[in-house]
Amino acid sequence: MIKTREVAIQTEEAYLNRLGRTLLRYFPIRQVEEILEDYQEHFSLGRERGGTDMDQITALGTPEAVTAAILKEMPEGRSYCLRRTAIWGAVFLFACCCLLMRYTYIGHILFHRVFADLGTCFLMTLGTAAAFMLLRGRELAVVEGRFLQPSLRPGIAAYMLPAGAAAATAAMVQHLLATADSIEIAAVGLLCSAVLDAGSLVTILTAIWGLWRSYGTSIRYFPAAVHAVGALLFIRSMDMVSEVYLEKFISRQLVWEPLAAYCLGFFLALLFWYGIRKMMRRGGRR
Amino acid sequence: MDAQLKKGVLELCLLQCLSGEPQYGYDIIQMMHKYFPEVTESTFYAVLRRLDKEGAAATFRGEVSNGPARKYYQLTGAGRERLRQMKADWAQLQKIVAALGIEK
Repeated sequence: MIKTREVAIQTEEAYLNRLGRTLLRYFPIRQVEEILEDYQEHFSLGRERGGTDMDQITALGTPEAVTAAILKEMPEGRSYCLRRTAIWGAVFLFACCCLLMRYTYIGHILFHRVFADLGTCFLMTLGTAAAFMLLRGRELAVVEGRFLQPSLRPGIAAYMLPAGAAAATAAMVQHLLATADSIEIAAVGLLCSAVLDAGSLVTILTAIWGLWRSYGTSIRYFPAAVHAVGALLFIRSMDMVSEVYLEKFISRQLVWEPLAAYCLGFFLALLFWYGIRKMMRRGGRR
Repeated sequence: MDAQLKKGVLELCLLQCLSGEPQYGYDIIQMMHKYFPEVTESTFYAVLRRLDKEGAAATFRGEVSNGPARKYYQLTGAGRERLRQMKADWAQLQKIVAALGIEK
């Protein structure tokens, strides 16, 4: 993996982008910008003196090695990183645990149904915001906008996949429930859970992939992860609807709950997408 | 070279480099890299950055007739004092090493 990364960095922009991303894990944005400016000057002077970008990149070492060297001279970066990670990591975990409880049997008992809708909205907003802070999304967007790498962004498939999975799951569950009278009720329940679990797996993997890419490649993958979480909650909310359905308690209201979860995910993804774009523009103007 | 020993030596050499005319960070690093080829350029930048932060070195932006203003590095009074101290330590160390017969 490290090898492919080294091959990938061939230009000054790509190098500085990667360096900025790595440094932001340990230092505040102002310090990172100062360091990046130094390295920018290094590249421009090197070119004046007749060196190629590739020579300079080899002489400087990988961005990870540069960060390690700076951390050795300025060890306070480690505690800065730890403090930030601890605070936002705790908020993120809290939101994740609450959501998990809400969508499992314990959650059913703990949360009142009416409150649960608002609770989900709140927890989802809190969780995504904490994840964004944990990744240092704002600062990353500024740095990435300044050293723009147009190739580093998710394709439309990253959005289509969870949306497709959610739609397919909904259609299949709907179909299964419609035929519930003809098949044995327990079999329908089992089939429904299997379909829902498959849909959840697809969306959860997309969300993890999106978060991983936001951390390692570009913050522009973040909205895709948020959108996938919306799709995941859409599918999990359907689980409850189908359960209630099977108990012969049909209420129109319950159909809106999954849709509300997805819409919130979609809306949050849009918000993050717009925010990141704006921040990147701001970084690019400098 | 031993990491602990190297740390001090690199600092001493960088201070010596800085003691002359104000220079670009790039030129200082290139010169150091010539003498210590096994040390990456980034290590020198990191030490330079620390010296700047500790007040031993100062930076200023100098205008060039054609092109952007660039960062120059220069030794401060505190830096000069530290260089003098380190040189004295170094000389004493050399004496001890010679007295113990470690040389050759």
